[in-house]
Amino acid sequence: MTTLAPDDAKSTSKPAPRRREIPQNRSGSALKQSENRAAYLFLTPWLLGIVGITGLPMLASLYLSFTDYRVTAAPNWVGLENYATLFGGDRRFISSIWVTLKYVGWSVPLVLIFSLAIAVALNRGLKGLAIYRSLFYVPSLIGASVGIGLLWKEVFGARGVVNEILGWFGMAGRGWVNSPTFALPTIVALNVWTFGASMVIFLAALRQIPESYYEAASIDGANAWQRFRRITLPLITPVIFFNTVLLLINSFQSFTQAFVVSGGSGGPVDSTLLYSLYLYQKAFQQLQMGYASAMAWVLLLAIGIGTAFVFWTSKYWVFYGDR
Amino acid sequence: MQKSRLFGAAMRPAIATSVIALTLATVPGTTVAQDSDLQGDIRFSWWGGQVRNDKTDQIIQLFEEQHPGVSISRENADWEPYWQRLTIQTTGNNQPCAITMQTRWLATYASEDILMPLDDMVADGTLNVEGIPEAVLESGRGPDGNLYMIPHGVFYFALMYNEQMAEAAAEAGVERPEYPYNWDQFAQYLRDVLPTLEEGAVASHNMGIEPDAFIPWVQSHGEDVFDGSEIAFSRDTVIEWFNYWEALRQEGVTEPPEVMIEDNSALIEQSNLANARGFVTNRPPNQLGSVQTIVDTVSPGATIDIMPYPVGPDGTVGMDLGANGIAIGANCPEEKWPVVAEWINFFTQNPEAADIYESDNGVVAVDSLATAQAENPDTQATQVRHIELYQEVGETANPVFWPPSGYQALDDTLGRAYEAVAFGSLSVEDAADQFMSDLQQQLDQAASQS
Repeated sequence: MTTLAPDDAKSTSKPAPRRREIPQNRSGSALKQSENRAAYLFLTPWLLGIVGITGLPMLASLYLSFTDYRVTAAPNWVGLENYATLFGGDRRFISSIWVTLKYVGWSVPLVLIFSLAIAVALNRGLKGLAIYRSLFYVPSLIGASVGIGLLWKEVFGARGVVNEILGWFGMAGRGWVNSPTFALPTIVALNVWTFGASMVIFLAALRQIPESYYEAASIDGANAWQRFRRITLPLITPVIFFNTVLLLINSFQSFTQAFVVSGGSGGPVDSTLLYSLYLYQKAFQQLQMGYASAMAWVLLLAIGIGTAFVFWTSKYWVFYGDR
Repeated sequence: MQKSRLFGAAMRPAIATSVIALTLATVPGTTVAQDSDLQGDIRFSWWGGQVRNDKTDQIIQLFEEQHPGVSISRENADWEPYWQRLTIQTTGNNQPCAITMQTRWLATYASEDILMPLDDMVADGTLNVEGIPEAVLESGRGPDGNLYMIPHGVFYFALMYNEQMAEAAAEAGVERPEYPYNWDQFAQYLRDVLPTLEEGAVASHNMGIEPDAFIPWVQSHGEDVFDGSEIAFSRDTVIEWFNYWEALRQEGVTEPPEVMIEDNSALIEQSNLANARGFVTNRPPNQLGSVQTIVDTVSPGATIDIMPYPVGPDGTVGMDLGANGIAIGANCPEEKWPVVAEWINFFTQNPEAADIYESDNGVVAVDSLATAQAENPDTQATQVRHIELYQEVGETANPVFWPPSGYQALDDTLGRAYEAVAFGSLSVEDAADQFMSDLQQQLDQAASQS
């Protein structure tokens, strides 16, 4: 193999098209500076937000997590005492972790399965798709609200609509939200009901899959399940991954529904004591802001580890078609 | 041109008024004719529902009419959010000038950084405490000895019951116990009433989770609730309390635990008492009027009345007593002190204001006003009953000393422990241990920073 010297290359190749040189003079530099200024100007609101509303309070919270701050008096430095108490002697902290893991463990897969199933059903060229899509999306807009939490509490209460309907079939109802066995599943059901956001993302992904793949598979004799299993599922794994991460982070931070349904207690018998709810109790009911700050940092770490784990597993199950 | 004439015509009186005002303002010793020289605006916060909001608004309007230069911003909230909001406000040093306070919560906020000590203002007569009994006034002191609150209402706790159900039971031969009845006699009365009720109704709300009922139990058994920031009652007293309600629950005298939780947090209109599904429950007696108003709609013809908590085995009265009052935020600027002091004086002492309020948040603290209210034919019958019961049994009450976060901690830990018993998650003994351990832990944490 011979290589051409630069001069040879020059002589054998077509003359290179004349490039317009970017002026590097003073006026060009001024333009660049001006553009930078404009960029920073547009970024300013975001920068102010990330620094002032997120960054500084986070730093303050980190500091407070090493203090005994109780709002009504100045904070005193206590080192790692809050963290030691959390893992060493707080029974309810451990309880809240278990409740949260159960909640996340049920919520995330159920929302994924439910939203994917509805998205697949809606992706079959139904008439009025936009209307159905909007209708299914509405719960995810209002599901985390206090109003819906209160409604859920009434619907699943001892004298709620659910028991009324069960009564028509001669079945005895119960206070679903006031039972240690059923309170958490009721909240999980409320969360699953807010599947709309994930569904819309799945629907967008499904519509990106070329129809020709399905036609070819059909010609080869693949049935509906095989087409879903071998074409749809692999091609939407990046979106499943994306939704999983989002749902995981949101579920770990769930608060409103458990707060409203249990009246802020996390009961009955701590069965709905989600981590964020316990954190809230410590901060705003017992005024232990330092302790609550430590809890917040443990939560941040747990979410980080959970998300990192999902990212690590993604190399085994997420299929990017271009790789 | 037309516009200019209109503008001129409109402006003439304004200019004339301004000239007169400026002239008067510059002439020494001349004052504009009005009821008061007070100037300024303050924020006033309180808790309560719509009935109390309306009454408070009326009183504020009356005060503002008498003091045209004063404006009061209203900040109201329901009970629990009220304290959470106050906590957040104190964090930002943004608490109102006039803050409705309660003895149960006072120790949590009783710090010179949050509330202003009022002793000097009382001593020099700026704050008028005439007619407020000494013991009631003293309840406004924090653990540091400073007076932080001027009481305007004395609250106590009692049982509410359905009068028609009691009458029906009496007709069926179930005699009403004469006060002072003890806890066992009360339980037996409930057992006897149960068969006379309609199917599905219970004789009593399960009060095993209720701190307002637990306190009279403890005190009527000769023990204190707290000693400083330490628990003062014994484990045996807790075990007996849990056993007392467990026996009644298992006999069907009280509701199942799922309904117990629901009834505990229910609005009045959804409660067992209002819907004739329950005979007795615990509600603050100052709510008697609002409860009766709602019952008139939900169960027309039903009458709700109040009766005292039972006494102990040896006749000891365990009734708790507390006060609601107004405190001044430590951040309140000095120039607003005269306005806030006048507002407190008006709210606590003015007969017209007292008539409007009708002891809505505790029996009015000034004795003469309470008596006048009870004798006034225009006062609601329910509020008269509220005042009368206080006058009958109030003197025997034994006020609880509340340490910082004490009420919140007791409410939280007692409810959780008895729930565990009622749902079968813990034995009575284990629940008593958990309750006392959790409660002491919360008290210690609060005390370490107070």
